[in-house]
Amino acid sequence: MREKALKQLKEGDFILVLLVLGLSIFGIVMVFSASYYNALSKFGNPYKYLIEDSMWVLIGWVGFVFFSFFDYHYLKHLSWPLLVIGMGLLFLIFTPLGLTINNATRWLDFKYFTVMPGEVIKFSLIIFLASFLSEDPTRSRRFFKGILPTLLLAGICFAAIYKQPNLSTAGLVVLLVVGMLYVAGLPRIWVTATFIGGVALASLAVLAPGGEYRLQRVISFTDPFKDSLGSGYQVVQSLLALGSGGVFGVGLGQSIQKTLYLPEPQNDFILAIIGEELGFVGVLVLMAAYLGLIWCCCHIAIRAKDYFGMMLAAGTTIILSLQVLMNIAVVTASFPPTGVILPFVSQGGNAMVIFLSLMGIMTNISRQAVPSKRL
Amino acid sequence: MIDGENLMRIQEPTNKNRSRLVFLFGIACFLFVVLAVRLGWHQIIRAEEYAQMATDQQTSDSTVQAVRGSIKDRNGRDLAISAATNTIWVRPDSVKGNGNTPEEIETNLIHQTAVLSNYLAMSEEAIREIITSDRKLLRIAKYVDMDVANQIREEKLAGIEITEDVKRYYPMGAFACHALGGTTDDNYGLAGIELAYNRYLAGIDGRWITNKDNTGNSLSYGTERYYQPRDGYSVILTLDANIQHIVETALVQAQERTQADRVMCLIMDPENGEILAMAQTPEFDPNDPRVPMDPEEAAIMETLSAEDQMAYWNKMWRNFNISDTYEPGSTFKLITSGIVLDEGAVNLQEKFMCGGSIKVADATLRCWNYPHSHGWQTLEQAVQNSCNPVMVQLVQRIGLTAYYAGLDQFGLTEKTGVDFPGEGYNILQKKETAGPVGLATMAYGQGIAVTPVSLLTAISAYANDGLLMKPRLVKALVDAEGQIVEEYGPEITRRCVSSQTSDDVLSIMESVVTEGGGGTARVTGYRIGGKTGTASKPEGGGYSDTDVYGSFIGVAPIDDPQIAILVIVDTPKGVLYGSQTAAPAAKVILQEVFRYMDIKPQYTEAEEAVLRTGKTEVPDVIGQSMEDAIGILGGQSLGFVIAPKTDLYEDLIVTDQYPRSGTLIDLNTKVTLYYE
Repeated sequence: MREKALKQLKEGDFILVLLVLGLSIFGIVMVFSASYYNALSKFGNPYKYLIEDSMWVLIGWVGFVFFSFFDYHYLKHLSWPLLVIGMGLLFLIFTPLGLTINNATRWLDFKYFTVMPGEVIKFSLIIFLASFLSEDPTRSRRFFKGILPTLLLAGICFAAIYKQPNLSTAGLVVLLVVGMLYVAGLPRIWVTATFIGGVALASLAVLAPGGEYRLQRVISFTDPFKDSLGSGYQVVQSLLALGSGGVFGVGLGQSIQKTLYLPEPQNDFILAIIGEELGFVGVLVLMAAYLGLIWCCCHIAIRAKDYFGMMLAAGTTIILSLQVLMNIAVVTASFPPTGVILPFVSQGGNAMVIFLSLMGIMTNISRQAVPSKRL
Repeated sequence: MIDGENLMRIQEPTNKNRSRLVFLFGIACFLFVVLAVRLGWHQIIRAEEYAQMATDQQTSDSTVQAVRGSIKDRNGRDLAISAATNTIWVRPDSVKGNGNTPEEIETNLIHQTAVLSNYLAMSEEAIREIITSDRKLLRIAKYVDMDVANQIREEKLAGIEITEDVKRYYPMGAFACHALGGTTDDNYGLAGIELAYNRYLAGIDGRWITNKDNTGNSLSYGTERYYQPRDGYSVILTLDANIQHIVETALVQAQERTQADRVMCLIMDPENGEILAMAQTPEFDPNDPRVPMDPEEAAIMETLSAEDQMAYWNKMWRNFNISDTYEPGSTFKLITSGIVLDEGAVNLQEKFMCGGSIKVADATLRCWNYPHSHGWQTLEQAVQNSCNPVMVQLVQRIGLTAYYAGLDQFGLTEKTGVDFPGEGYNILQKKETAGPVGLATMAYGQGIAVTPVSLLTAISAYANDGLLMKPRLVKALVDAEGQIVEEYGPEITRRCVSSQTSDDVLSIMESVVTEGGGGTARVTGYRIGGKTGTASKPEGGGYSDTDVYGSFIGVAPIDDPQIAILVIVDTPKGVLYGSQTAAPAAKVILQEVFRYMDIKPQYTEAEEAVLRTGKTEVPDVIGQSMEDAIGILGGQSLGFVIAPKTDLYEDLIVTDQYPRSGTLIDLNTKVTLYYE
């Protein structure tokens, strides 16, 4: 028994736990470093974000531990309720519960805490799709029985999130669905078609009414210095932070860009502050950690003992990779500034709890996985 | 619902699923590498450029003002000092963003406007306009007192910043204003000593370079460099505040008495060229240099156009004693006398004939008492009588070249080099074009204009054994710790006349005061030498009938000269002569200065007799010019009345007097003088 438990722990991806633990602790440190000046000037309390973030991380780890012991197969039973909850929250945004910040209604205000339906729906979709596709793996190849309903679901989510407006999360959701379909076995022709469709949809989003705001973001992404005080401001400040950091950084806590130059430095742009304080080397180490974690997730998906587990793990891997890549791309001015957080590191909230919970599910899948030898 | 059976029917993942997963991971790896390269591009290749841009926005480079040195008189009394004041600044962005809702912002704005308006005594509209402007940082008020600034600081208003800076302050107001000059708002010398010695007074500003956050607050970490400012040196003037005060008081009285436009006085120590007093009326207050001190004048100035105001200020600030020229008139005869004596062209016993006029080339130059004449006179008598034809005969003896050489020797053909900005050039007739007539008129001080400082410097040479000194206003520079950094000693320009000549001219000058027209400057018990002058002011192409410069130039005491004095009265009304306008002012000044300098009176027997009896003998002034007659009577402490009364400046001659000469009368009795 004991031997088995040890092995399970090993197989349950000791490395994954270590990496996630390391990332979330690193995240707390960086959130504090990035936010204390901001918090001090705005609220007179330098620890405000540190305390909030630590709380979310703690809640997230409760989720992690819970899901790592909770047999993931039971999630199948929850797939429909979770979807209903996720979709319900998405539409609640358009009720007075919706909280508007900077012209975007992305939050639900529950007085004591806020919920981002855009984050919750990722979790719901992963579980629902994994369950839906694993019930009959041929669905991924059948148009009316699988592909169409899946894409319809993705479309509804996209539309709802797009209305907030939050193009990046909407896009992420679509990419997640498409990615999961792909892994599930979507025929090649459909892969190509979806790719073209995605591109068409993206251009439509820009050309559609109200697209000016999005177009502005796209413009500011190609040359942020062109409008360095307007739409390009955040990215410019991000680049200045990276440049100031250079190869080895100015040292932990020494960032100057975080002193009100870069707005909300503990959120989407925390990587810029990491780059300034810890340098290129520091960011490379961080990226290596993420890549390692993604590989762990991939490995778990490959080793998963059944189709449902594989799809769960695949969905998690896809959403994790997408967010990390997108966030780095935004900070380095390689992608329009979107509002995608850096998993485990950016100041916590719903996303922190959801990602840690997903990682809990991953360890559970890993525990039940077939030994590597059999592959 | 998924039933138990379904749960058992586990689907197996296929290798296709796995290979697609690995493929996706491959794409992720590729994108990671791409982004790592992109990151390296920013953090290595472009790093320097970005870091520079970041530094530019993150650094605040503020000036730490050096304290401007003070200006003190020779005894160390502060004439100009720098005092700390406060400037109130605003960052409108912070004001406009002060609150979460528009209503809250408006409430805060109204409160802020009211508070500032209350403390700064400015209208709410004006303040609102300033604090909501589009600029990043601008000034609301300057020269705010420390306690007001502290009260505003206590209010903790958003976007309001208070900086301490230094303001120039002249504790004695208008005192010595023309010598001191003034400074601009940012403490740069504008005129006078403030300008001439700006380089030393200003010091070197320091810098404080520090990292700041996006709202401008300094950070406690990051780079910080502080360059200590070096405070300016203090300037110790040669001016003596006590003498300056005596002079300024006398000038104000003289201006009131003569109704003159301006009255000027310059006092120099002939032995070392140090200027002891330099004053002119009307004065201005360098603390508020743009507003005339006379409320009526200030009201008039308000109505002028901007251009005229500028002209008005320039005139008000202009230091006549250094920058302007005037016609010296008869006082210049002292220079001519010195030149011809030094040339050896004349001895003191030799007599010259005045026939009332003299023919030079085609012109007939008249003496002032034409058609009367002075008859035979020695040089001394000619100066006493202020006789023009004799002067002409004297310069004709030495000729043009020697005369101009003499003027060169006296430094009258160049600037004196006094350490004061804007020294004027003397206007002499050109040597090439002067001709015999030019030479002749110059000999008695007409057709030329000189700066007061150059004439006094030249005359001072007689009181300094014939050595011409460079006039100076600054004795020393002293650093903030009180250590002397630089000391300026006497500078001999050259020997301009022999010791003998200077003694001779001094005795002539003394005789002018004791026996001639300089008597109104006489102070009983002291040996004073001097000469009065009256010259019509140039007007249009010719000379004015009514506007004159009356002046007196003198040296005292004759046996040990300690001061040389020049008093100029610009456009007196009523009696116009130097003997009546400038000399009495000089007398008042000399009297007070002797007392201050503790120079004891030494009475002659005659003076003692007068002092004892309180009576004096009426001198004979019939045949004298009105100017000289007044001076001579003044020398005996007698007043005068001109009958009939006249306001016109003409070369009047006394044809009769009452009481008659030789009569013993009480001191200060008025003698009536008649003219034709």
